[in-house]
Amino acid sequence: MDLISRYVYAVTKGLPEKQRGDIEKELRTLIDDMLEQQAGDEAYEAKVTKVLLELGDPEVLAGNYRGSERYLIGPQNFDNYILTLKIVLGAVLLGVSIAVGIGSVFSDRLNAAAIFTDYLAALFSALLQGFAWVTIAFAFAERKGVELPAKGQTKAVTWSVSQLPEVPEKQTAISRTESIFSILFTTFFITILYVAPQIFAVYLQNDTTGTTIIPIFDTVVLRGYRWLIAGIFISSISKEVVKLISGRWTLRTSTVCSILSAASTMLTLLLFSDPRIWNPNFQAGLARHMDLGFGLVNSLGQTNRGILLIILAAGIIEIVTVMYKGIKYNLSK
Amino acid sequence: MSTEKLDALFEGLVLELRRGTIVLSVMSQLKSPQYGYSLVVSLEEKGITVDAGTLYPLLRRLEGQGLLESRWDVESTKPRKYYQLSEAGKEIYERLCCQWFGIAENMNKLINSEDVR
Repeated sequence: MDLISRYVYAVTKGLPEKQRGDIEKELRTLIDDMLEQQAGDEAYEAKVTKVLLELGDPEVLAGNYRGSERYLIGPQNFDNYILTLKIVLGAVLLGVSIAVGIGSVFSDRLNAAAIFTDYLAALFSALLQGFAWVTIAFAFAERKGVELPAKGQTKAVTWSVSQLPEVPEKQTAISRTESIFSILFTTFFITILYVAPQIFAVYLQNDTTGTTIIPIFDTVVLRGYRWLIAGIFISSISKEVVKLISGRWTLRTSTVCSILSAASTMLTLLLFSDPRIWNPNFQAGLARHMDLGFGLVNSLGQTNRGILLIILAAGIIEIVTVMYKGIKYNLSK
Repeated sequence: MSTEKLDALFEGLVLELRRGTIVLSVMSQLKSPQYGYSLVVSLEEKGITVDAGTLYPLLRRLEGQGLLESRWDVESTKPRKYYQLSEAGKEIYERLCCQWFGIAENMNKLINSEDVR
């Protein structure tokens, strides 16, 4: 009985929860039926062994029950996944190294061990985040079946010649290099913003007082917005992943990219709509150290509004461009 | 080519040839309700060998596709799941049979007993 339980367990352990009970019941009855068919006067154990051998490798049986294979990231996307992962993790490594490097040069602490520990901790959490988000972005693309010709062909009931994917022309092809640079830049920039926003600063060289650093952001407030920064990263990277996988502009690619663009623009607007993220002493400090005569003090609100407008305009331009490419390509067919 | 390699190749091709006929074989026996193992045995008696490891998942798949209906019989000593053709299954079965006769006829025209030494 023990062998049978182990066999049934080996088959059902990897199957979906709701089928497990049913399959377990039918397997037990089946094994029982097969045992009854075993003539001869061998010991019970020997019969069980014989029956189980006849049923074969439980992994194979489980595979039969499972039917088609399912993937988190399928073979057709795996190479792109590894490529993106390398770029993102490379950029994170570079970003964190530079962030911590610059940070430590200008910090008062000169304890090498403490800096190194900080560096490792920041690196570990940033690499882990990068890995997780890239994987999630690809899993999302896999689930939604973004432009996977191989999959589409099996799904289509009647296949016609018109379904053959067009060989991308120059204009409709999405440049891989562009996406890769985009991923590199986004990851790099956001890693620094996430790990060490204090290094976005104005560094003023002065003969008498040495280097003065005036941070642009209020790091404490910005830290509270880390989830937003992560959100911007996810939507931006997802967009590039979709483009990488698709390889050419179609209506579907354009739509998905537009939605992701809209998401990242909205999150960026949300982040910058809080004026508290700016260092409140930035302008005063700048004025003091640069001897600026004209009034900067009242322009804070205006600057912020200007930045929001730029972000909004950039987002809209991107969405319009992307949709234009998708629609133009679709109509030309 | 060595005999073993030739044999292995042959086995693979036979398996492939049989695979296409399994669904039809199974459906042909399910006009009245049967449970998995009784199906294995009755098919075996008629010269069609299907392992239980292939048949059980297949029955589930056909049920999922709506071609079979099932019910658990819990009154007997062992719980058994009985399968039977559904209405859609009956229709598909008839159409598959027509296909089969067509294929068999054409195949018989293509190959003939003189091909076999």
